[in-house]
Amino acid sequence: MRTGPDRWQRLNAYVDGELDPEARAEIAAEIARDRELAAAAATLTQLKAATGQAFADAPAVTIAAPRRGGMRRAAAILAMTAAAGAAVAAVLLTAAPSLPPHLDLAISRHAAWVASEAPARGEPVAAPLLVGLARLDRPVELPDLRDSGLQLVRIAALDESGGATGLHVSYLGSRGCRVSLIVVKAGPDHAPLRREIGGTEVARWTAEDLAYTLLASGMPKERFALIATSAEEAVRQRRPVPGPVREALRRERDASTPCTG
Amino acid sequence: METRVANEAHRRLSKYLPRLFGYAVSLVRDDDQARDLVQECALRALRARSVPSDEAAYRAWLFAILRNAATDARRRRRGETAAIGTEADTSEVWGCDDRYIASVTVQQALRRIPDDAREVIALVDIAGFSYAETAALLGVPTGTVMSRLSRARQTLLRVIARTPGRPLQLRRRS
Repeated sequence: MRTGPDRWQRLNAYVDGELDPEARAEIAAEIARDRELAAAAATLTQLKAATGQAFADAPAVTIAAPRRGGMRRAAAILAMTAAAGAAVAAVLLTAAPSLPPHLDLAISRHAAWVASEAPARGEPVAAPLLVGLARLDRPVELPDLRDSGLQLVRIAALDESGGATGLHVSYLGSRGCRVSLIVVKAGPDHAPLRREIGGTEVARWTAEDLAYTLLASGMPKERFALIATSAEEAVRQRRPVPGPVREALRRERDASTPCTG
Repeated sequence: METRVANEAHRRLSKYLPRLFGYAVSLVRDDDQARDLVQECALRALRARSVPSDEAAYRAWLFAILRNAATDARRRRRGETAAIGTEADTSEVWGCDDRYIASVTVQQALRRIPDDAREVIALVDIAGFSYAETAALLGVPTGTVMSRLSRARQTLLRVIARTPGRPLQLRRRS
């Protein structure tokens, strides 16, 4: 099959629904005759769908004063806001940034784990199934992070006095990285989230009726993003991530610097 | 009255925030910078004296604001835009192994392709613009979008195929 750039370009336009009816019928007929072309069309369709979903679970963006960039930038934004009049100011003031209690709880639990004496890697861990049933009335899907060099070393109950009933799962890296996964019943405040809070990377997602919050301190941003995305996918799909993703995780881990937190 | 108008403007803008964020990530490759960029875009939109009433025009207007804000930020950082490869041989990407195409690998691969390749993919596949709308936003002819997009996807597929860190994993289907 000739696979020149013109044909590839037309195939892309076909997948995007950008061809006129005549050209569309022409390439549809070619696809019907040519299995390789049909496979390429399927690949492009899948790529387009996956790209559309790549940021579908993006962290919620609120309109508020910037978190980074220092006071000068914040002051400039506020000055612009004032100049724009009370109408805009009302919008911004109602969306002022604050740390909700459940994030405070997750961060404090993670900080306690970072400060604690680490158990030895390989020590027996309470069965997630039983702990999940005891704390959340249901089995809990926990991601396997061993491809990232992180071993599950502890599962602890979350204090009810903290306003949540759930689990604090601790992962320990072979180079000392500490990662926490907080699992609680999902509530209206548990919107998807990706942000850095005081040097701690935080990612949150929900799956069925549970909210998962992953935290790591001092971990390179790119590495954390990959771990969080694959952990979310594993939890949602209820199965290990595919081989290529696992290889990407291993490669990212090998290329990364140890956590600094 | 002013608060009601502001809330309406806020509501109208808010429904586009996720896609604006996806486009912003495609422009700056960093979640924090992308969030700041969306915020900058929102501020500019809310401060505008004249806002398109037609929804399609409003959407294009928002993305244009975001793009301009990114350009301003890039100038401030003295960044440079890389060019899409001009390779014409598409034979390698025909029949790329579909097992490698998942949102997680695509998300990672998007961060590794040149800026202009990522942008045209983001406008069409993330923001959902047509070729003509994308062309208007980028200020180029529609035919340029068509060829730029096909080359960009070719580049993306190559990066996805190389993601596992081993030689190109391409499969010819029989």
